[in-house]
Amino acid sequence: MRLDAIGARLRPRRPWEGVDLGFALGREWFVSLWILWWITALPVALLLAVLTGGRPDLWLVAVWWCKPLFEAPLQFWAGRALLGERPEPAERVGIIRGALTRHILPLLLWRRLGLRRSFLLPVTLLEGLSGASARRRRAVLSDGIGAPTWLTLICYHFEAILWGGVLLGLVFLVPEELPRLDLTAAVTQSDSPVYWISAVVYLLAFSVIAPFYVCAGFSLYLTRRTELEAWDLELAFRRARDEQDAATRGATSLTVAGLLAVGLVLSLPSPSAEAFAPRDPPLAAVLDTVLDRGEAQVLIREILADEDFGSTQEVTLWLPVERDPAEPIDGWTWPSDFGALAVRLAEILKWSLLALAFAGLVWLTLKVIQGVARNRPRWPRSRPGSRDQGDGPPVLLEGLGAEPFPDDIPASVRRLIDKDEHRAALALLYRASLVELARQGVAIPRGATEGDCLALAALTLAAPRVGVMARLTQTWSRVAYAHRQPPGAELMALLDDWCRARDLPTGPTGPTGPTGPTGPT
Amino acid sequence: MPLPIDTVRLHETPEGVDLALRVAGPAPRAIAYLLDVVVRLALLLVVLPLAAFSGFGTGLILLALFGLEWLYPVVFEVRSGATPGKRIMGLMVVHDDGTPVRVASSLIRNLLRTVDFLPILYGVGLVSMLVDRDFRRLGDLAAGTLVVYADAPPAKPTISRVAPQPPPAGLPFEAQQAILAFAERGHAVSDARRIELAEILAGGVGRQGEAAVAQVNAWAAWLARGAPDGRG
Repeated sequence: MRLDAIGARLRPRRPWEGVDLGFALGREWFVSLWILWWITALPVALLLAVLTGGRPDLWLVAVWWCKPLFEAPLQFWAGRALLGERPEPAERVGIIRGALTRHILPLLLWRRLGLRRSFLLPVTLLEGLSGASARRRRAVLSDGIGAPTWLTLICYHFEAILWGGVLLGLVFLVPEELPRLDLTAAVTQSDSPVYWISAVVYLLAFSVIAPFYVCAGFSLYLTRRTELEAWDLELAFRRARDEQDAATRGATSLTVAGLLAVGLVLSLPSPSAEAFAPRDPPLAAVLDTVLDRGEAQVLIREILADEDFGSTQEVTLWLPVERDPAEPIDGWTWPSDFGALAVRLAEILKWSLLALAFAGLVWLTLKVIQGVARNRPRWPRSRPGSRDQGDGPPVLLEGLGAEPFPDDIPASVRRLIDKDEHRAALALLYRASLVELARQGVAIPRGATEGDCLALAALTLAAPRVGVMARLTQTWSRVAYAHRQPPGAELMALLDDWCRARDLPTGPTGPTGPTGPTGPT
Repeated sequence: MPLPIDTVRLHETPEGVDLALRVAGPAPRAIAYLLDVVVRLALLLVVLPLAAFSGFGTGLILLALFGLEWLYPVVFEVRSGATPGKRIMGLMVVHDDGTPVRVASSLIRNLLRTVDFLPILYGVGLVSMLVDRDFRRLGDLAAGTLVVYADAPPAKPTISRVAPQPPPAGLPFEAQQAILAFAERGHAVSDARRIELAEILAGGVGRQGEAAVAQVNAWAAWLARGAPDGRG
């Protein structure tokens, strides 16, 4: 194989890049390959149409099965075109005849369903291998790459997409007034004539994708062989050798100076001229016999003085004088410590915000503590007289009752009893007791019941007063809640006891007490 | 003789440097798309339990669907040049001058997927890629982008430690590169083939067989490391 004339750039590629190169080749050669495909496929397709008795579904499957038959000539054509011998249109029949050898048979029988078809086609067609050697070759080539399989699957789907696209395009683009394509029938009902349209469109899709498929497989094959056999290196080595041969042949006719120049230009740069001295025998012989060191140096200097090796030029231009960095710049500018000032301000802002947050926190805490204490009913049990326990102020008691307290409470009570207003009398007496209790420093909380007040009183008051208080509370409760009017005499006795406990004059108990008009009747 | 066909697109910078962009064709891009579909389905499965919150959850799922359809490629392409699928296939999206893709171009090329998708499963995009010499679909043409192979960092050269010998004078640059490549890739080739290759070059100085291989390796060592006494 002459790699020198190869029409694609050889370089190590990833498998997928190989596939892409194939698509590029397929586009480049599309028209030729497409025509070639139809030249092979059309007679076969017509023949199969007759053989399948006009059934489009069978026909489509049969044509699909024969695809390797149409791909072989494409492969043959592409193989020649790649090596720079692009076949003329007149050679097509010859190419088809050359491609359809008996080696194709396995591809149409048991290897038809192999998924690496286009990748392995060159082994059969271009290398002409068959039997065990072909099997070994195929195994080596397909070792460890998955792209050929994917290529076949992808191209299968590309065909389906093109087929569906054309069918849908026919449906979308034909105006409603015209007879329209029945898509369902075209895809599913194999006995309907529209199914033929679908089948022919599929054949069209085969023909469009086939050149790309074959070329992609072919270039995958090339990529694989380039990887395994370093074709690109062979090509580069051959070119280098040919050039060297040409240079050696021309060496005797060239002047020595020219030869040296070539050596200088083409060799790697080096500080010492000696390093360039070619070591291969023919050149060394030429150089050793003709030139001595001094002459060579002169020649080198002359050659280097040539314009090609650079020249000196004098250029005059104006450059702005460097500005002194210390010099103040005109115009207002930001103060240099503006940033520092901003940082300072931000700092202050930060701390004040923090202080504000702290103050808020303290305030909230106080509020919470207050709220908790207010809502917690806590009675002084073991600490009599402690003020801080209840915060129901004595002031509250001042509001008890609408009317103000009379100066002489016992007299007022007695008057009320005489007027038969027992309830008012008791109320006044009870209120007076409570106020008195409050004045003695007992804090009565808001919402305290009569029993609570009695309990508080028991802790502070002297025993006789507590006894009176207990009786008063009991009587009051009976009046207030049970609406049981106590007899006037009982009230008078209570009042007398109340006064006695406070060392007040008890008043005329004799005539009014037991013989009151309000006695029980 | 026409230029050899290749999938490399050269872009010349103002400094006169040729950037080689290896454009990727429809086949690897189809696989990358397939992988992305899988990734997106997986992401969708993650948000699907949101359907438990009936109305609100459905709304969130619809938003996720929208994002996965329209923003998924854009976000990944702008962030790292490639969606997960492309990354697995070793591909990336760049502008056609080789610069990283920006939000605007990425949005254009991904919004135009609606056109490329027509009439079914990227039919238009496939035809466009087959026709265009840089395998661009319509979205790429509009946005001025290319899908290229991401360059892997070059492997550390492994030139065997043999006594260096200067190669023949006047070797062109390509030949020097080939000699170095021979020393690095020679072990991947069968012995017979290695000798055959070496004899092409070393045959000219009368070396045959394994001696030719040794000769080429010695030249490679000289090219890689210079002369033993430091003169190279």
